[in-house]
Amino acid sequence: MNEFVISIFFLLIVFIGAAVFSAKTKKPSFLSFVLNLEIEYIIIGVLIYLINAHYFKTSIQSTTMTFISVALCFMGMLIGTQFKYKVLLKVPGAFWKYIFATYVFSFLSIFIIFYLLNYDAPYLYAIILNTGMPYSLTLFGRLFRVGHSRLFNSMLVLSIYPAIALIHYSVYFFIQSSDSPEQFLSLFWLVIFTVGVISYESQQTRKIINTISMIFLFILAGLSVYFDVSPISMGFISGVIAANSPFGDIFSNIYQSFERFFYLFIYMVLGFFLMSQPYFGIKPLITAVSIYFALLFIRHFAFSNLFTRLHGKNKEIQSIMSIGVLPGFLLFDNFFTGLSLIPMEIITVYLVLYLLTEITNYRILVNETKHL
Amino acid sequence: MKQNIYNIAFIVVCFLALYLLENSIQAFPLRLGTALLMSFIVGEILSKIGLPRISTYLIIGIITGPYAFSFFSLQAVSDLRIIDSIALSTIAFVAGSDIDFRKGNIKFFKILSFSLIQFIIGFSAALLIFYIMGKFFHFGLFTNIAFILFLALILNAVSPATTVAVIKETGSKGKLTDYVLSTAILKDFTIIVCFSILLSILGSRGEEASIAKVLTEEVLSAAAGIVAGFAVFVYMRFVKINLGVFLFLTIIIITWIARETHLSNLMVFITAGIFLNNFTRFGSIVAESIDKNFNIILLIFFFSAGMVIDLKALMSMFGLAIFIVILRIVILYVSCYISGSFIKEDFKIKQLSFMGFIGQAGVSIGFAKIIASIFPFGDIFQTLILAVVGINQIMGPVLFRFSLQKAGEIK
Repeated sequence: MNEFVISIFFLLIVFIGAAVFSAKTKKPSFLSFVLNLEIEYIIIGVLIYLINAHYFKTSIQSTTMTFISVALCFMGMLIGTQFKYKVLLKVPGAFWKYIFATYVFSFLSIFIIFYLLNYDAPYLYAIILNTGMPYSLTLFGRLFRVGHSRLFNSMLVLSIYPAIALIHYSVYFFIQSSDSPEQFLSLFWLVIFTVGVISYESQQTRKIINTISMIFLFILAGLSVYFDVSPISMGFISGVIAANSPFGDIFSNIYQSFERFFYLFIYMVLGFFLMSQPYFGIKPLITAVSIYFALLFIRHFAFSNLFTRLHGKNKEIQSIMSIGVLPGFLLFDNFFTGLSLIPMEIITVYLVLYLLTEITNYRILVNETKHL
Repeated sequence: MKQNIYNIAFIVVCFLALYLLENSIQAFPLRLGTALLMSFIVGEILSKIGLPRISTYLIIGIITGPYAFSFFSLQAVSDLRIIDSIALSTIAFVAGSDIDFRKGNIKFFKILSFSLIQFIIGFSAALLIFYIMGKFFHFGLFTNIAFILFLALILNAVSPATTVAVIKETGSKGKLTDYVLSTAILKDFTIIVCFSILLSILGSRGEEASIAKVLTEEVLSAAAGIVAGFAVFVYMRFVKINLGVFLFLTIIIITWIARETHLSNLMVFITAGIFLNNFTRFGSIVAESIDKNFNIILLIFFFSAGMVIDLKALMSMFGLAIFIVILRIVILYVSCYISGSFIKEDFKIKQLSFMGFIGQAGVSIGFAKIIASIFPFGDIFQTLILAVVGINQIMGPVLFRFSLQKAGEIK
């Protein structure tokens, strides 16, 4: 018995529990919101670690590690395939101003906090935590039956946010590895391979594209492991290339169907790593709370006038607090590529910050909609 | 034309990549992905000239595997076993979900009679021929009674996974499809039980292969399958959401439980599928949920099945293996004809169904391994079986597809 099997076992139990709860709970509540976010899988990761450590004492197996690299590539690919050049051109300039102002100021404030609190890699950590994902907002919309028109601008901002974060992260990664020509060679192969696969797919039927896309993902993960390059960056770059091909939508739809499974998996692995070297000192808590207030100020109050101007006369909900699951993926990407040591304290900072932002997100939305 | 150029270019690039990449752990995922891509593309090309994709996957598996170009080591092949088991479970689940005894065109007792008569005739005929060869023509190998008993039995073994793969690939529907699939499953079960009986009588390690133990394992597997099927039913009936994730997790965990408790995952999932399709209204939904990614599952399963085919064994016993393969085809034809006539079935079942039972895989190889570890003649026996299975597994899907086409069951 290894931790991979135990994890799947627990995953199944909690998955069923959460699914039953979601299916049977008619009235939207904070618990149903949290369950929808899949945070409970972090606890599963913690349990797996404890059971594994006390009864089985096995090491992380190569199966698990390979799977993590596939999950990371998948995440990059998923975000990349939503980054369509033609669609982005249609986004009005005011949006870009709002997004860049929010991104830059959030980044700077997080960087300063890490720097002042004497962390090893403040720049990298600031990139990792300065993200956003539309996942919880989508769930909220579904759970509380809020129309798309009231969340449109926030959704758009949060959809563009992860792409900017990943561009920033990828550039940082390749600058950091600039002394290693192999990293650039890998990029060359990646581009050649992606363009080749897309050209190949252009000659094929829709049914074949489904299988090719899965093999493609596996080869990308293989390339990143072989060249020791960030899997998430590899996935993202090829995702962007794929998105701007005639098959962008097909790619995107295929990967979206696996989205939830990989989210569950990464939360669980986060919980596992959290327990493997627990770091519950006061410093991560102070860091998380400081970043939280900085984000609350910048993302909710500082540019609210700019946000109001985006939607004209329509009253829209401004809710871009959520940092989403992306930092979890980026943390593992770091671990994989050896960009920094396993940043255990950062996992704690991330999880606390994640909870705080999601709770705030929930409260903002409840207040705005007056549903509860 | 343009498409062909792309295909060939991709195959060449993939092959070169496999050739140039070093055989290290770090390169393993990349090698595997590249080999899968190559198998897939070759499979698509050859499917246009009528070769089933799974046969191509097998052939590419053999070529890239440890016994030919050695792009993958034996250790790497062994590491793939868990993925292989999960793929087999998924195939079995889909197989079970395709069997519907409630429909008018398939009766359980007819299938049972067809399988049993076919097995009795097939086993007796093979045994008699081998006995005559040993007794009157002095074939050294066939003078040993245990040898010919096991050989006659294993020649009757089939591969339900191969049957499902061809059915899914061709999208065939009809009487022949239903008969072959159901019979393959029943024959598989019968042969497992008979093998354990023979082994407990002839083998020195009776305890390991006692009839009661094997029967208990098979019955428990079927029971576990019903429980699993019921659990899936409850989920689908009352929860409904995220079925894909649920099925994926369920298949992994049940495969592992089956492995740890020495149950047959094939039996567990086939029973679960049959339960869902015959006692609930969710069987087709399960098949549909898996269907979208079924091709990748087949690719992984048959590619890794190809990698374990021992090419050296096949070459060393090629002549005898070819003789046994031809003999097996003749026996299968006769037994299917007689059993088909007995249950008063038409041309399709009497004259075409034998082609659906030619493919052989896991069960036969597993039996050969057990015999190799127990009997003095075991090594030769194993080599012979591996050679026979290798040929049958390449040829089986091609012939089954041909028979389905002939029966007009492929759209």
